[in-house]
Amino acid sequence: MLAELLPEILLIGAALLLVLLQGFCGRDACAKLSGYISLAACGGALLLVSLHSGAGVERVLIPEIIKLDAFSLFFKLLFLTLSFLVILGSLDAVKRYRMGGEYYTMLLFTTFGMLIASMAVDLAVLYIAVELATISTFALAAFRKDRQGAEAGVKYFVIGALSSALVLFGISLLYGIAGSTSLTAIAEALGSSSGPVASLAVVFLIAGFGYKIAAVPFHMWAPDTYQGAPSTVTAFLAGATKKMAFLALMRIFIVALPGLVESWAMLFAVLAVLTMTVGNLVALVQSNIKRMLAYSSVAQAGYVLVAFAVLSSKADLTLAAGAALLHMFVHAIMKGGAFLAVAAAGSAIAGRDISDFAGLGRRMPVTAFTLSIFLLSLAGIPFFAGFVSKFLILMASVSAGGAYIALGVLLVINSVISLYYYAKVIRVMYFEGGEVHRAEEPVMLVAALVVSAIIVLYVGIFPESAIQLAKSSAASLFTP
Amino acid sequence: MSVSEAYLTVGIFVLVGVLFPAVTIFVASLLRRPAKPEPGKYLTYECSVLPFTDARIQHNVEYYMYALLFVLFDVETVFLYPWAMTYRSFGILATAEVIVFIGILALGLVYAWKKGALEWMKGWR
Repeated sequence: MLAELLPEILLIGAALLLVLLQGFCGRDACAKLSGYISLAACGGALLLVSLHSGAGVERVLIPEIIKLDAFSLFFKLLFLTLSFLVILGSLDAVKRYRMGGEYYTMLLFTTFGMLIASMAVDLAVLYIAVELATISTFALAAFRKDRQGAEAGVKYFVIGALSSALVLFGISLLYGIAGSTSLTAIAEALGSSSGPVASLAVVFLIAGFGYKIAAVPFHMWAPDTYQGAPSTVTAFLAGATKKMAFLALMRIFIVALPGLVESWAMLFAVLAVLTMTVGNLVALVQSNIKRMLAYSSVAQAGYVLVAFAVLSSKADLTLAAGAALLHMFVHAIMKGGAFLAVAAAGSAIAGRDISDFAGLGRRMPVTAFTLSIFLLSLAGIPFFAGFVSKFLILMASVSAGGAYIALGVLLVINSVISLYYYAKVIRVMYFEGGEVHRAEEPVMLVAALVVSAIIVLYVGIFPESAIQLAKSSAASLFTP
Repeated sequence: MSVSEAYLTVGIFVLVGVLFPAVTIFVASLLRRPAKPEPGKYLTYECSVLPFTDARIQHNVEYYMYALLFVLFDVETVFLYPWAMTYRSFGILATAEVIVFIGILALGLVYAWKKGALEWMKGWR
């Protein structure tokens, strides 16, 4: 059992070591050392997980509590890749803003919580793992010690506590019905009966996790938090933490509540329509780039929810779930990359308005070029990863037929709308702003950007293996 | 016991919870003193001393530090006590888990200590 948990042990060991380290060395030296230790721990864990991943891995580590399957390995890969990129980029940002080594400690604790959440098949364990991950991110969101940073932290904390309370209430109702917190036991106890209590539980769970994934109408905290938090932290929040809530939703609803699929898929369909449309329309008028990316993140969550809604159809369910998984992975890399690019631009540009980015194409060529790749991918242009995953969602909804096609059409319309505000940034970067001087680009951030851009391009041009991995990972969710 | 019966108790509890304040406020309104407003009546009453500052002052952040550290030891006791009562039957595994638990809490304490959270009013001297 310990061999399978080696990535987690490595991370928590490094995190505890960092706690001790903070007390015994000076602030700046400590931050630097902590950065390298956490980068090594994260890289090691990523290596271990990628060695593990492959078809047919499924081990029950503790019966009914923790299970390692292809689904959890997929999410582990997602979380660790993003953590690695964010830590790599943070090596520059932490030095620039003189944030302490505690920054990395929090990142490692969060990643540890997310890895445990990916394996949990028991509601209580899942809840504790999600809490472990979110509590550390409250501190991360408030790392900038100014007005906006405080606002970001307080909003995130209050909404986080509220949503956790809602989730817990939903869990308690399910426990009341089934007499157990194990997901499979709940599925057995519920069968296909849908009493008022079970429906109430579904509503509470969707509302609670709806806050965490920032679906409309639970999204209002996201732009303020994403804007006020340091850009590297925002990359992590939008890329990884949000995906943890999606993971929990998929595990709970597909494994524990398959009998109620008609009712919850309907709710997801409504949320998907609202989330896509409102997210994109509000993003159109944003002048601050971080707010624009935050609303785009809201809209992208709507695309994933389309795939969730399709799960109630009679069509190929692994295609829909696999499309959701792939879009989450691709979104994590491209949105994380976009926020890291904003962090990189911050070394030369004081403002965060889109107009401040004028001439960035000549000022910081690598940053601007990679940011353009991420934005085009977010818009869903062919030969970028975002196109592949969006196309897969569209395929799932069209093959389901009926009213699901309408969801797919709405997705396409929304993608077209979104192209406007993504392309606006690229136009400002390359075709505006007169004479500018070349600025030095932060090395580590650029390294993280280039790696993310390569992943986005690779998945976009050679999508077969990524699609295969996502589908086989999703399939493990449907086999008991 | 079926689900609806189990929630009957909850329903009665909610009903009592809603009715209790409503009835109390209504009865109190029947018994209250006649309304004769006067500025002196609106002052904050505190042991017959007249208020001389605003009540909204900023407290020293170190109070919060102490509260946090208190929670650390508090939770430690909450878990240690049941373990101490049953450790004979739980065997070596439970003991190992408790040692790990105390170890993690101790790390937190060392961190707080080194950062000076245990020194009272450090900035004031």
